[in-house]
Amino acid sequence: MLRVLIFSIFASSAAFAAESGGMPQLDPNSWVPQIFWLIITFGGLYIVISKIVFPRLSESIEQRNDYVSDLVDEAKTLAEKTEKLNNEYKELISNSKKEAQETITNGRKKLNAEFDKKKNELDKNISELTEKAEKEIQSFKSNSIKDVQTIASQVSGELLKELSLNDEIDQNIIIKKIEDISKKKMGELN
Amino acid sequence: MANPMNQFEVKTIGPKIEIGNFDISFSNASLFMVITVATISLLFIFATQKKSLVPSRLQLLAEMAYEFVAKMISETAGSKARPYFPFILTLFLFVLFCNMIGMIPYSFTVTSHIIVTFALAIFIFIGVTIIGFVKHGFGYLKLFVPSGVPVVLLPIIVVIEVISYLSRPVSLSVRLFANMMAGHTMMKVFGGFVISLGLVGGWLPLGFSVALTGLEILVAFLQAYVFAILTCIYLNDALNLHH
Repeated sequence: MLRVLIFSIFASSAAFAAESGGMPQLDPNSWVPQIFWLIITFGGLYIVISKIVFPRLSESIEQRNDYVSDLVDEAKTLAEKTEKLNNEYKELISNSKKEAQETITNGRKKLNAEFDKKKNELDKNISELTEKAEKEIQSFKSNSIKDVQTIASQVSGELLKELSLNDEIDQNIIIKKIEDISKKKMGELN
Repeated sequence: MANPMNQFEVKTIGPKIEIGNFDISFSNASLFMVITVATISLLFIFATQKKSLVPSRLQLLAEMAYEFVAKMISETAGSKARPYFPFILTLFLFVLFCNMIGMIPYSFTVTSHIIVTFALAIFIFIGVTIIGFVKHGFGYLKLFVPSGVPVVLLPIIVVIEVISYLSRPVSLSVRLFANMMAGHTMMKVFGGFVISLGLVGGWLPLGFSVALTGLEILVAFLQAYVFAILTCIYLNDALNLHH
């Protein structure tokens, strides 16, 4: 489409040019100097580009590519290192978790044992104490009964004396009576 | 209206110089070749002076041109074409800058002359042919015998192939020259319309002129690209010989 347009205009302009003196491009007199200067200038440019520009550009681009690939390599090694360290870290964590678990279970066992021991000791103490207390209570009980008997006998003696029974009653008989009575009572109580 | 072909006239500058029978006078065409080459040389030498790791804008421009051409060559002709890189780069930059400098008003478009484009094209044609014969000997003639063609058709095909091969320099040079000349003529014609129609009717061709300027800048780049890439394709035929 574009080319058709360009060529149609090219054709029309060529026709136009032909009417008023033709195309300057077709003048053979201008050819030789143009070729000569083209060779000079193009050759000069080729020398400049191949000797100066091209080596410089390829060097700077290569240098940059080297630099970038170096960086990429470094990044790769660093990433590997990171991976390694990460694994080590994970291992460490799991190890210490295990260790902690062990410590906890050991501690628990130890504590349990100690607890049991203490408990047993305490139980023993308690039972001892209970026994002792029971004994005390028992002795207290019997003692108190004895005291009560003595007091009762004395009181009854005194009482009988006061109640103008001039004859002194044998204390031992009273005690015996009281004992009998109290035993009877105790037996009733028990 | 001024003759739109006047812009293509070659005018001798200074005295007439002759070597033997050959006229090598300096003209406006030569002047613009020198300007083009000087522009490219100065631009690229200056741009590549520092070779910094992080390029400046100018250096980036030079590297973009380099990589553009490098990509073009590696995609069409492969790695074997590496030694011809400076030539392709020179060719591309020369044609591109000739086209672009030609877009400046009152300048001269070097590539709008058939003799210039034809000289370039015939040089490429001869060079490629020599490379082909040096690389493959007479095996290079296999280029004209495509594989998988019935024997009956072979004579016709070979003739067609030979003609198409021989017409390469013509098509290559005429394409560039015709595009440049047509575009500049068209712009001149529309510019003339602007003047002749004046303030009343001149706006429409003025708009066309503006649009055409954009189009021509595109064409200037495109034709340089086409010229360079066709050279790469011809080079590929000579280097790799798979047809």
